[in-house]
Amino acid sequence: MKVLKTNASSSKTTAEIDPFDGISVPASARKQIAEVIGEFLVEQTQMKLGDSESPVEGYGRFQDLSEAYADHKKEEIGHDDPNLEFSGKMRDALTFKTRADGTIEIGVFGSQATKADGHNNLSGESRLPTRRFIPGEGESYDSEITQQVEELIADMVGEQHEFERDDFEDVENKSGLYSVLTQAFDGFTRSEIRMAVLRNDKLVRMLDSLELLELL
Amino acid sequence: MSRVTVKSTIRVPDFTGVIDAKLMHDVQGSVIDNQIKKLIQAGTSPVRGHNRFPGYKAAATKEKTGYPYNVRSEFPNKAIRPVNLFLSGDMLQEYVAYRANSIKSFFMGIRPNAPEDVRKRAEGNNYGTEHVPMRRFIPAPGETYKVSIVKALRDLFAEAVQRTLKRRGG
Repeated sequence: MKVLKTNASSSKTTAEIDPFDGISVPASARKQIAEVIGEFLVEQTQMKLGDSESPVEGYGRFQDLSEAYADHKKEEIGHDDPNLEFSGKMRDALTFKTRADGTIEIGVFGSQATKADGHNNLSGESRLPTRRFIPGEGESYDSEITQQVEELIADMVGEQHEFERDDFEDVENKSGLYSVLTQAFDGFTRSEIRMAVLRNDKLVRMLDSLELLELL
Repeated sequence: MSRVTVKSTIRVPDFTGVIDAKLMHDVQGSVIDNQIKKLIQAGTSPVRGHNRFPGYKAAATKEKTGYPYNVRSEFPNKAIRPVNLFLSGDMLQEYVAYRANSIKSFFMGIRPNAPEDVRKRAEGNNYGTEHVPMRRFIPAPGETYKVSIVKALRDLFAEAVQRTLKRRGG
């Protein structure tokens, strides 16, 4: 995954991301896969924010609120967690868009964009403590999120490829099996391919019926 | 609309022996407790196609009366945001993974023998009522869980397949 650029304006505070950086994915499949990755990134961001943590590598837990604001939030909302939620409007506005080339633009669009930059400071002009939930250029999501994105891509690449029983008729050993599987999982390691296959019900059943599953 | 029970059927890979005790234990821990309830705690529906839970109507008023303001003396930890389906915790406590009479599927949802008032509250939140907005936290028929949750389930299914292979000497 790679952040291509960021935007910070009155209408959007976003990061444009190439989720396929370094991964070989057919052009025809990119947008469909990007839609799923975009959903995943929004879900993971909301979960992290719920714990008052950044989903961006290197940022960790958010700085506590100032005493005055914490008191105000506790009075009005019932707690003083730095979870970027008071009215809920900004967090409700977190979303994503995808392009035909598979690029994902994730962040806050519309009237809540300025508030989002106040926390993320992608513009460099915010005076608030930085509570980054949209990665900046040169940044990435944390390692756990990044790994899961790669696994999701591997899964969907595998599902897109229509393996047939005939594809495996000459397979006699592990090397031969992975030689066939690599046709779909180009650029993935054997370990990644193995797990993607094990997560693929149809492939598991096919390889098991061919008595090849144990070769994995 | 007719009521349906608040549960979702999860079909497992068609691979003999995949639903073992460890899988059910891991589904409860890794999926329900660590993914579904986390999303709910963050005020977000765990069901695909549904977003964040609608806010409390009373919060939008000047007077700030009505739920949940009227329960805060008894439940001081009940916050206005995020909307997280949590008051005493008794409803979410009943959100479990449980076996069906099938080797091909199991259920995730409100325990079938949960107290009647808990089941009624779960249905009310899940489908909405005249007074309570819909806050979907268990997929209705035709719906699925969000990507993160389905991914977590598939990860566990892969581990279960590996255990089956090991038992077969693979």
